[in-house]
Amino acid sequence: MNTQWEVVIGLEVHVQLNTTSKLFCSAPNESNAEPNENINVTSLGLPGSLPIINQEAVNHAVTLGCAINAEIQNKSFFDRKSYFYPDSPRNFQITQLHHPILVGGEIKAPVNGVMKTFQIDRAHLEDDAGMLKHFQSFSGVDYNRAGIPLLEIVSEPCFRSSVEVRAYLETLREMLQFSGVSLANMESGHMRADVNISIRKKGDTHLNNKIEIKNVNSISNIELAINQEIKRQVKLITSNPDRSHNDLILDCTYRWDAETEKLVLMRKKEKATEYRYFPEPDLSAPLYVSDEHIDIIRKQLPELPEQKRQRYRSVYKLPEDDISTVMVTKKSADFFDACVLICNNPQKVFNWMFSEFNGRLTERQITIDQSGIAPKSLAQLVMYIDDGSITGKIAKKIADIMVESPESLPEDIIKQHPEFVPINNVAELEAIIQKVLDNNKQAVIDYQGGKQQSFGFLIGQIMKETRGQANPKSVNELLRAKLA
Amino acid sequence: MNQINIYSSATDISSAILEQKITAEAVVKLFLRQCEETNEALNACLAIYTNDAIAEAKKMDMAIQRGENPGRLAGVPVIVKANICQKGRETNCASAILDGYNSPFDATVVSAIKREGGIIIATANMDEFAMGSTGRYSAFSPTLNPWNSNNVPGGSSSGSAAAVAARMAPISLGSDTGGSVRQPACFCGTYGLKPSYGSVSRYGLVSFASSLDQIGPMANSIEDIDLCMSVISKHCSKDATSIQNYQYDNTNSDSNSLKSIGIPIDVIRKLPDDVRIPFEHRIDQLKKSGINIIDVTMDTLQYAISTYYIISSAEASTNLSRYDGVRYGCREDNVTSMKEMMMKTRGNGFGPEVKKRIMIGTFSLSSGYIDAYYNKAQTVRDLIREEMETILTRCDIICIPTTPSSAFRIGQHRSEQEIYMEDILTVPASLSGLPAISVPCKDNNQSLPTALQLIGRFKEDKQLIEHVKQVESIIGKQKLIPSELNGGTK
Repeated sequence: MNTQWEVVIGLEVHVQLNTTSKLFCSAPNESNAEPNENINVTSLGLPGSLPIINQEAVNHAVTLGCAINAEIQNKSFFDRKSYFYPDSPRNFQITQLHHPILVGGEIKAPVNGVMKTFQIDRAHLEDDAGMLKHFQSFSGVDYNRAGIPLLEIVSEPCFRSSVEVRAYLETLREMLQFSGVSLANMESGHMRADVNISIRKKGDTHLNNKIEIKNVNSISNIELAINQEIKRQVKLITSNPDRSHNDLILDCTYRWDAETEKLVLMRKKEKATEYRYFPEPDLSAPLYVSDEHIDIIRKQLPELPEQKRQRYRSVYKLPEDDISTVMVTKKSADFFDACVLICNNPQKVFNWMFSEFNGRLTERQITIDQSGIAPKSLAQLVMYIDDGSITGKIAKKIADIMVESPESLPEDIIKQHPEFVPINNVAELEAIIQKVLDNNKQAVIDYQGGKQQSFGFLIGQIMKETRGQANPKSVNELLRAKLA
Repeated sequence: MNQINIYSSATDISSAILEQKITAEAVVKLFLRQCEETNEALNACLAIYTNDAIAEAKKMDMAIQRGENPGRLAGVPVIVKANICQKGRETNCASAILDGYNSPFDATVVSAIKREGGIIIATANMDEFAMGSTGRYSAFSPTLNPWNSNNVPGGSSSGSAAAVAARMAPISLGSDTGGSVRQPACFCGTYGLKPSYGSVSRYGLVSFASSLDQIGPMANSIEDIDLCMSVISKHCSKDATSIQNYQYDNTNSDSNSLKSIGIPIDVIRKLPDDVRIPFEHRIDQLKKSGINIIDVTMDTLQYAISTYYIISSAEASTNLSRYDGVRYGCREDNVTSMKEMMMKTRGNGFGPEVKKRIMIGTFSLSSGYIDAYYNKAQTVRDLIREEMETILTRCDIICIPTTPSSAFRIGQHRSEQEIYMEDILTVPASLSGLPAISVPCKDNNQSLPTALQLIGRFKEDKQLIEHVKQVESIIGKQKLIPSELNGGTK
């Protein structure tokens, strides 16, 4: 990009909150239902229905507020936003225009290895709309999504590149997932970003006209869309030096077409959209969140991603790559933490989770945290290896069985398979060792003549004889004693 | 106890049924017959549930025989306004746009009435979506006044008032946004209460203006209003505007505690004789009995009508947005686009008064006008509330007539604005959220009833009812029976 230009980007991120029910009624909030299954009188806006605020959604908003260090408002209010569209059951949305629940806050994200702070303007609660589905001769509306709680997180216009936007969105997504506030899966629409982009000459302080890109469904596509739009604006302005900036760049809304990977103009914002906001009279009392309640939530705040990363680094001594692998999802990190809590061997837990088990689960396209295998089981396996009760080789056989029957604990599998029980009986082992020595006289001579490899060879022969059941440590000691 | 007839109070009816002096079935049939005989002329009811009501009554009689107590409204026939949801029954708000719409749920008040043994025998006609004060804006023909069919019954709870006056049921439910219970109660000569805002659940009341709407009881005696309130007035977790921990029965009230009444003498002086004379006559009686009459000024009264119409229309314009033909109700099918479908459905489905209010409301909320209209109206509303509350620190209740005239003749007014001005005495209590009751008042030489309106302090609905009882012990009970009614001489 031409270096005389500065890009100014602001983000509005809509996050579906991870609640049991919808924002204003008891209809379920879950996405695997048949069309119009998760509805009730209020989510359909039937005559006579009234909204009641869902405390769980409020708690999630407060949780995020604690995580991003926002000012959590003791009193916030709801407003009506009117527009006619069939996916809106009441033809108005209930949102928080004037008095949002969260004001300010910041998100720190690594940009090219350097931590950068991005400022949040506000975050407010509102209800999601339903979805239109177009068929050949008619359109249908699915109201399952209508009324699902959203938190709209509005950033300051603080991003200067698509790389910064990516860093912010990845950090926010991880924070939402790890705090339990949202599933934050962009592909499933749990997290949707609207991007506002303008450019200005470096050194300018005013903001030029911006365009808005709506509802892009992945971070990579957001990056693509931003870069494309920056190029368009720069080209348009530099190739028309006789015309003013704001004549060339009009306030418009675009959507991203994932098929063609192009921005498509949705509408020009020639006039301010007329939403006729006014205070929601069905929720006229303030949404009250007491300082005591905020304190309770703050104290129960789960470990946030950055703290977790720090712990893995300094306490578990995991390499950075492994940390990223563990933290790929909250479930994965939870599984990892649960295992380490029991067996206290982070590196071995890591190896077993990500090489052994996930390797075995690849063809099922799942990971261990989705397999039904309990952290307790994996931890037990690691403990058995560590205390020498089983060999690595047996452990792998046990792992094969665990993948097939995830409910079985290693101790039960061992009980059912006597051949997995290690031979600890000294007399029995000594007999086997003697037999191997008798059959490999040359190797004994070689060893005693100073050839160290022969020792390994003999161990291998003994292990083979015991079908891997012998405790390698004991075998080692016994053999050394025999040959001394 | 006298024999039960259509003039009996709900209190007497339920006692007689519980004591097995009469069956619920006989009571229900008595009132159903009255409905059948009078509804053709009055059009007070949009639907009468003859079979359901008799079946429910029979079931109740059996339960009573088994020794069960069906509750405080045992066997009492109740009529419910068409904007209060009844499960499986048509809740059309007297609008063509909801013609044929059956609600899938019961309003909280309907559940409460059923739980206490009340039997809902009919749905009452009304002005469309509760907008109007004549009963003439029903999409299903107007209701007529049982006192004189040339006069309007008032509105918007036109059917609820006419039905109770015509003894089609001892109790009905109406809804009051700016006077829609009190004004028709006055015109039809019955009692009608608008409770404190938030004291009766709005869950299941089809919203007109959310910050003003309240369901209120109508009946032919203060005791029956009291009884109905004890059944329907309590906190409801499904209505966020419902008062926390509130229950009518548990609020403090003392009988014979009324010491002072505030009266805006300036306002009364300007009223026409047919309203002013009976009013002043009763105030004199109260004064003579030792009650302190205090002259109060209501400086904000001149702004009440415009404030009310701006706020209620603004809220209505959005509350009525949902009627678009997409999900329920009527839909215009002969269209080529979704937008056209919505526009035609609304264009054909709404009546003229509703459309006008939607337009007023949309205008007053639009950018460029919201400060001058909606926001200013909210400021004035606060001033009105403050003034009313201040007055009520100086006296126990405020007393004014319910309406500036008795039931007007059909077509009497030259303009809609003139009809709006008829609401001037009811809207102050609405805008202030205060409980206000219309108590019938008619001198023998008058052909049509007028009414006293008693306005009490917020959340002191039960005390207000006690005050009315005390007032009636001085001025006498007004059990009015419309002259045109069959057996009206009883």
